[in-house]
Amino acid sequence: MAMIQGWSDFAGEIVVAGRDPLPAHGAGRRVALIGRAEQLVPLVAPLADDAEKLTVFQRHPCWVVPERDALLPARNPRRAVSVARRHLNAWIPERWMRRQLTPSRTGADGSVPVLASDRYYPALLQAHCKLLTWPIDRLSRHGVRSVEGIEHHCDLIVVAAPEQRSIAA
Amino acid sequence: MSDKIDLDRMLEKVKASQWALVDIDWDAPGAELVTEAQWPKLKAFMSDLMWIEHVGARGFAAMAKGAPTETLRELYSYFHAEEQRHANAEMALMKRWGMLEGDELPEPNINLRLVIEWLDRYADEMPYHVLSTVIPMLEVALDGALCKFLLDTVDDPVCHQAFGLINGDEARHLGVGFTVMEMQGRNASLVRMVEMLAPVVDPRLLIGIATYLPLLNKMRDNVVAMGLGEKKLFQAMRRFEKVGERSAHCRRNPWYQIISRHARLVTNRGNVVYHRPVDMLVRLTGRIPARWLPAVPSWVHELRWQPTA
Repeated sequence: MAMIQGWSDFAGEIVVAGRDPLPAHGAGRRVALIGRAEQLVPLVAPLADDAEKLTVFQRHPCWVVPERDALLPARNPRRAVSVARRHLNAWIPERWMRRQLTPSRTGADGSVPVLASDRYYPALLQAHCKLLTWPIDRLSRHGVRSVEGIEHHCDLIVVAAPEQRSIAA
Repeated sequence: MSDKIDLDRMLEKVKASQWALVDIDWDAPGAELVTEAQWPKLKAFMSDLMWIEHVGARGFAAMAKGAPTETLRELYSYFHAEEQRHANAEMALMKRWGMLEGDELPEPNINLRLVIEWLDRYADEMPYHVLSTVIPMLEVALDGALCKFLLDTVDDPVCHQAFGLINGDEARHLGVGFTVMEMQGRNASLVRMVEMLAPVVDPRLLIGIATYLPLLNKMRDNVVAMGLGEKKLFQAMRRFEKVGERSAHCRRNPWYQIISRHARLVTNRGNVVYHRPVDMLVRLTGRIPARWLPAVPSWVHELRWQPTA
């Protein structure tokens, strides 16, 4: 969190998820969500529900299994990864987006978290949601500047706090 | 440039040297300095240039996957985004000069289109040491020569401002590129060198080579058609060898040897044994109907000339 430059330059509201209350914050607004995938997974669908536009700046993808397999990561991490891979392939039709959502370390050695969610992928596929994996340069007055040179305008920035990190596998 | 650089410090430098499209006033006066005679050639030229940047971006994305250290992985993810920024900025220039209609993307030539297709399918599976030699070559040769030519030809101050920033990024990319080539050649034993060469029989790599060779010759033909003497392009390609030769470690990197020797073939017009078949490949690929190719991968649609989203 402290790594994001320009925190005080942003003219809109910044909410730290896990510290500040989240409900109703996104209503009708353009929202940017920033964090590691394992922090974002529980936040994306609720924010997408009422935001006018949701831009997800995801760092470090994690594995996601369907909720019916929520206990699998603890019981059988290796199988959880293969279930997560199938879940990803079933939901995300497009190769580049699948790549953006695939953790680079594929071993079930505990280094990549496995979360359970039925809503994460469907939420990302909605027309008003956009998944971005560009590194963030800084916050500016109007939004988030990422390294591909584009300033992503928003009214509300939700930053997933590091404490919220939960590792299931 | 081949002097060893500290990659951690380089990463800090990269993070401290960021810029965005909104930093440039794309409506500032000076667009009229592009003459009517220049316009059609410049349009084709900018289109090639922005596609090369975009192809380079995808190459860096693949390198981020294979990078041996966390610092390099992060550097490459920045470089991936920075190359995209170059393509975005070049499109913004094209828009400024009235070369784009609506939200259309410029049309890539068939050889670039084939490279995009190959990158999309195979780049992530290519060995890191192959990509880490080819990408600096493309950057030195095409980017370097083309940017210089542009600045010599176009007087528009906005173009100069944008390319001042772009060239600053490219210098850092090359610094890292040559350092990595050195790292891989350092104390490489004969066994290691043979290991590094093993993927040369990988059919996926062979397909890659079959798209890379005609791309270079096609680009040579294009830059000549645009009025850039091929000598300048060849000088830029030779620079790859000149910089690499300074380092004994780099010289021990077998892929550096292959790529730089190949550059010598490309720049030697007299070598008909090389150029006749490759030029024929250029002509053959030029006959591939666009409808035979699948739709462009979705990462292509991430390009945008608008500074804000």
